[in-house]
Amino acid sequence: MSVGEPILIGRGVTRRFGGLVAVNAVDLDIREGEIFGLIGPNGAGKTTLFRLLSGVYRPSAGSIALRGQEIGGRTAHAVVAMGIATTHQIVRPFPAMSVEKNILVGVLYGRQHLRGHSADAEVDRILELTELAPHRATLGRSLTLARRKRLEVARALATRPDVLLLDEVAAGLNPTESARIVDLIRRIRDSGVTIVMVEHVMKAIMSLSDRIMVMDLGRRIALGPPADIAKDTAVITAYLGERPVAS
Amino acid sequence: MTAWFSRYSKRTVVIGQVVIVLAIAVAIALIPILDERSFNLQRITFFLLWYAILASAWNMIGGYAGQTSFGHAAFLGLGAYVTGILWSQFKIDPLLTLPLAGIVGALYAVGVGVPTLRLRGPYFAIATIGVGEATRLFFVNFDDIFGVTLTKGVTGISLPSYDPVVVHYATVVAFVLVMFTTMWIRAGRFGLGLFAINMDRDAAETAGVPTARLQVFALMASAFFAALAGGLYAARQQFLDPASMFGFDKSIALVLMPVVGGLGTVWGPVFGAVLYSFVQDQITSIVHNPYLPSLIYGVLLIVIVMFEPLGIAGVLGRGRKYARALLMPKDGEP
Repeated sequence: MSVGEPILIGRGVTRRFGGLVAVNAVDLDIREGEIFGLIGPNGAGKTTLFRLLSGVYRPSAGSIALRGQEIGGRTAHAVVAMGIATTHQIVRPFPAMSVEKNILVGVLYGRQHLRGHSADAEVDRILELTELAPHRATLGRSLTLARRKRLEVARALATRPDVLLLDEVAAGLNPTESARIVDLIRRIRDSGVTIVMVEHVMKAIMSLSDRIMVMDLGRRIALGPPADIAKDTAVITAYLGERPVAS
Repeated sequence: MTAWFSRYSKRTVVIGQVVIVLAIAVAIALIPILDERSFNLQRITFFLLWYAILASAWNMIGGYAGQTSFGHAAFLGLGAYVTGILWSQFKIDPLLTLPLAGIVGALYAVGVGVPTLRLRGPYFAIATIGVGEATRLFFVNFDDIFGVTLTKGVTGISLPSYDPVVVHYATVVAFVLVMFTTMWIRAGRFGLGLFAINMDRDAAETAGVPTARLQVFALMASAFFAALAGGLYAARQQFLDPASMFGFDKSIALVLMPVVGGLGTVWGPVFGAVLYSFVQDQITSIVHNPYLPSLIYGVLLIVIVMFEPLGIAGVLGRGRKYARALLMPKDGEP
């Protein structure tokens, strides 16, 4: 799938919490159809930036626009209706609902306004795509972590987003499960959804991302293809500190 | 027409419930026809349905949306006073003002709900206690505030008598309406959204559910029926006063019935109401101790909360499962 025009554009995006500037004048251009990786050390502002993109937080300054429509200041469900869906870093399936009903919530309240049997068909499609079909009747609270993570993705996907924000979906998974979710993310992108992901599992993000943005202390310190990022001195310094002077 | 039906709301179950509701309604509606002098039975069945309407109304916000209201007497009393005053002062037939009572209750719910429903867990419950008490005090001081003679403060107002048989039928209709509304909520998109909010409001919001709006709608529906029940009371009983209509004990009763019966179920509040009106009516007529019903109900509540969170409905559901397992040991279907 070829990468297209910018779809989600941020200019000078800033979020302050009291005296702390969690996200500081960040510019970003996410292109349609790409997988955009977001990395950075702890406290870099990645999750805050995600919450700004999904409407949970309101920017203190700057603008965020999806296809030219401003999203800053809208409520989270209104942002979903515009076409940005998000997963939670700490997975939150509806515990007393079956997997299929969890997905049905996203389908019924998503952008497609599906009802009745067409909603059922969409639930089936999502179940197949996320490989959750065998567990459709299992309650959210009874799922394993790996399946909860996939359900989190499935529920977000059920709203039919243009842009899907994935917050550490591979964290805490073993290599097999992690590989499976990497496959899933690729399939979702191939179905035409733009993906923005925060990830600490380097193998996952390096192999998936078309471009990676690195944040440190609320600022953007690097942006480019994974191969360039791995060699970037600013990035290495942010993660590992200054190289000691050879003595 | 069947657009909101999906495989997740089994059509046969819904049709079965419609039939049961209509059967109950017809049976109770026949009482005054079969025996014109069955005053006692009419009174008992009126209060049975009346409590069932109130409990089902409370269940819409407290059970489905998961927001515990300790101030629902505000809506009940408001509806009673709307119908009562229009009847006693302006001679408007209570039957005509019943829908108005419901609408006034629903509008009051918007005013109350928009600021308070943002609060979570115990804070909403505490706020509703305040709403209930404030509404009671407003009606106690109504005449002084507006310089009129309408509510007569703590003394209350006497109402001209009205045909109890007509009220009996109106109550049956209101019961059918509240049950159909409950079933509609339970089976459809609205109810699924409320359940999602109940389990995790933030997750519901990110799944696209307009949580604030849905909760206000649920409170409006709940208040509509509570106020409607208030209007029915005013039409049947010839006396209204703030202490009994807006009393905190009324608000508590509205919480107890659905909790004991089964929160978030269609029939739980009805079971709770049957039990409550039985305990209220029968026990006090046998043992003359005004505190005994409360004691019995308190003990029941503790037992239910400890052992069966789905209340009587949960016990019955379990019983049905065991019965089915006994009758059809080979069929593994739950």
